[in-house]
Order: sequence, then C-alpha cells, then structure tokens
Amino acid sequence: MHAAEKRPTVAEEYLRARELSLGGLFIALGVVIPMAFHAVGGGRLGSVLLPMYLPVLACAMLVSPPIAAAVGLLTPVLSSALTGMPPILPTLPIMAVGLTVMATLASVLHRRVKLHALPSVVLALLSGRVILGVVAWLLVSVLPAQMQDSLPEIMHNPISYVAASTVTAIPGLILQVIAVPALVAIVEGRRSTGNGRH
Amino acid sequence: MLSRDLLDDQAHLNSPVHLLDARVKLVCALALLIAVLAVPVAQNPLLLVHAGALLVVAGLSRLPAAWLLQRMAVLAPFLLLGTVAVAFLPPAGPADALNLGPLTLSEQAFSVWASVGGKCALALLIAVVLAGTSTTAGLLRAARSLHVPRTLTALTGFAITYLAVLADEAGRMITAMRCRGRVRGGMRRLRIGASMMVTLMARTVERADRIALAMVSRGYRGTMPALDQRPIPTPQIALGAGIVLISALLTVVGFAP
Repeated sequence: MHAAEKRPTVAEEYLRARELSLGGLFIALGVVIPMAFHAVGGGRLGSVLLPMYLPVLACAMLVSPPIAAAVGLLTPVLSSALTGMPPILPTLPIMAVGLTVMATLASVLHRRVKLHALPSVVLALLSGRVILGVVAWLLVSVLPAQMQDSLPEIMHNPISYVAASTVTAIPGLILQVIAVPALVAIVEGRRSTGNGRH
Repeated sequence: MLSRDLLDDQAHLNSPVHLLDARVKLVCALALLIAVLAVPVAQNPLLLVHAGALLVVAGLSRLPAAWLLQRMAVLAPFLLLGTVAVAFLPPAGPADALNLGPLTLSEQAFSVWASVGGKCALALLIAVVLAGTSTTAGLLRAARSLHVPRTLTALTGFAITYLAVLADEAGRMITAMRCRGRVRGGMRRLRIGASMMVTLMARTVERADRIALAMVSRGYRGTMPALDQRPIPTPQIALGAGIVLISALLTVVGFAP
C-alpha cells in the first residue's frame, strides 16, 4: 500500500520524460546552433554572439534546476567532443562551469522563485560573468606553473579578462536578453492558451 | 552540417580496438586525455610521443584515413586562425626570436600555440577514435556502469539521437533564409538570425513534447532502464591498466624538473 502511494502518477512520469527529452534536445541544439553560426558568419562569431548560451539558458527556463545544471555541463563537453569547439583548454572548463552555474541559477529564479524570464536571464548572465572571473582565477591558481604557460596572458588578471570578454560579447549578451524571454513567452503562452500538449 | 551517420558509421569494423570492451576504451581515453592535457609547454616534444601512440592506435583500429581526416577537419579553422596570429606576432626581443626560414617568430608565442593547438588536436583525435570504434549505445552503457549518473547518460543519449534531426532542420532554415535573398546590414542579419533561432527552439520544444508522450505511452516509469553488462575479460583489464599506467608515467615525466 505504501509502495503504491509512492509510485509516480502518469502526469509526473510525463513531466519527467518531458524534462529529459527537452534537456537532451536542447543539448543537441547547443551543438547545432554554434555550428550554424560558424557556417553563416565564420569562426569569430562564437565569442561575440555566444550561440551556445542561447539553448542552454532557454532550456533552463523550461526544466527543473538539476536537469538545467546537467544541460549546462553536458552541452560544451559534448560539443567539444563532437566538433572540437570550444577548445578543450582553456575554454572548455570555463564554459562548462559557467554554463552549469548560469543554467542552475536561471532555472531556480524562474521556476522556483517564480521571477519573470527577463530578470532571471539578466541575473544569470551577470552571474556568468562573475563565474568567468572566478574560474579564470582558479585556473591560474590551481594549475601547476608548467601548465600555466598555455593559458592566455590576459587570464592572469581575472578582472581584465572578464572586462575584455564582456566587451567582446556585448552583442551576444543583448541577443540572450531578447531571445530567451521571447522563447519562454512563446512556449508559456502556448501552454496557457491550450495550444500545448498539456 | 552533421550527417545522420555522424556516429556509429564505423562501429561495425572488425579490428582489435573495436573488439575491446567499451568500458576499457572509455577509461583509457580519459587517462590519455588527462596525460595529453597535463603536458607542460616546456615539454612540448612529449606531445609527439602521445601523437605517435595515438596514430598507432588509429592505425590498429582500421578506421579509414579519409574518415579520420574529415572528423579532424572541424578543428582546421581554429588552428589556421591561431597559426596566422602567431606568424604576425613580433618577437619580444632578440632572445625570443625564432627563425623559421624567411619568418621570424616569437619563440614563446610559438611554443604556447604549439602546446594549445597540439593538445586540442590530440584531444579531438582521442574522441574521434573512441567514437569511431564503439557504438553510442555501448559508450553510454559503459559510462553508466562506471557510475556516471543515469540522468547524464540519458540526456547524452537523447542529444546524440536527435543531433542529426536538429542539424537537418537548422540546415533547411539556413537554406530557406539564403533563398529569400542576401540580407544587408548587421542589425537586420542579427534580428533574422535571432528569430530563426527562436523558431528552431520553439519547434524543438514541440518535438520534446511529442517524444515525452511517446516515452510514457511505451512504458517509461520515471527512470531510464538499466542494461546488463558482461564482465570485462581479464586480458582487457590488464591492457587497460597498462595504458593508464603508461599515461600516468608520461604525466610524471612531463612534470619532472
């Protein structure tokens, strides 16, 4: 009887399946969208428009924090393994940690705290900039001296590193602030008007 | 763009590397990856040792050279960009000058670039050989039996399964955009690109809804099913342990003063 009470309902099973499929599909988008950007606009667009952030943040708004964290972690790792981008050192660890924290925070703010999508994205992006500096500082502090030579010179000063990468990525940050809430509005609007599946 | 046979298209080959258990290959690949990444800039020649060993493994795997080169080619723009940047970077002083024929390069910049470029290329080669000699399902099962959380393996499985489908969809949208004519102006291009991505993501959400319904209707009960694994044969365990040991030794050699 007790075991029967613990068994998830069909609705719970559906929601769990939906989170998994959404997470998986958005990880795939996180590999595909940067490739499409490179196909259209060349390699330099990646650091300017941050195309990998877009599906990760959008997914974070639609799934629970643990799945959002997994999506943030897996997207750059899978992309690096399949396409070689981002490069495994030093960009991959920075992006993996940054996207994991950003996705978790965005999901917590939007799904648990019930904050609107726009401030959630802005706060997540701000936290991402802070994490960028922290990870750069950690890499410089933790890596053995012999390995630090392969890090970019600017990384030795985390504040300059964060400032430089933020200035480069201003168009991408604006793109996230516009596109992610737009997508969330479309998806949630469909659900509330009954066009969605549930 | 990615093709439908991105992975698993060479997994049917019959080679000693293909016959190894996926768990052994996964652990060895991780050990090799750590060993490659741990090579200090001052010990760049060690990268050649790793490259030699990896090329031997690639040869043993009987993966077609053209297939390997095609998979490695994704790194070419990044390597080319860095090479051009290093070629135009002037040396900091006479002590930093490195003469390569008519070119005078900065020795420090050249060493750093050789280290970063070499590590990226070798890391990709490890991933490509691993993916080429194993099935995706086998690798995911191996990761699961090595206690990688089930959610991570399930998400990775979904991502790999639908990668080609989404790549096709993105490709069709890019073709449609190009057919509508050339767009002038950076802001206009950005706006069109953003609306394209929002559409792609909205369609993906709909697809995820359909997949979830299909999963529940086929008996999904909140967790992905665990699949049984056969025990790893002892010679393969010994081989894997040997490779991990050699990788650790090379890492120690790299850090020796």
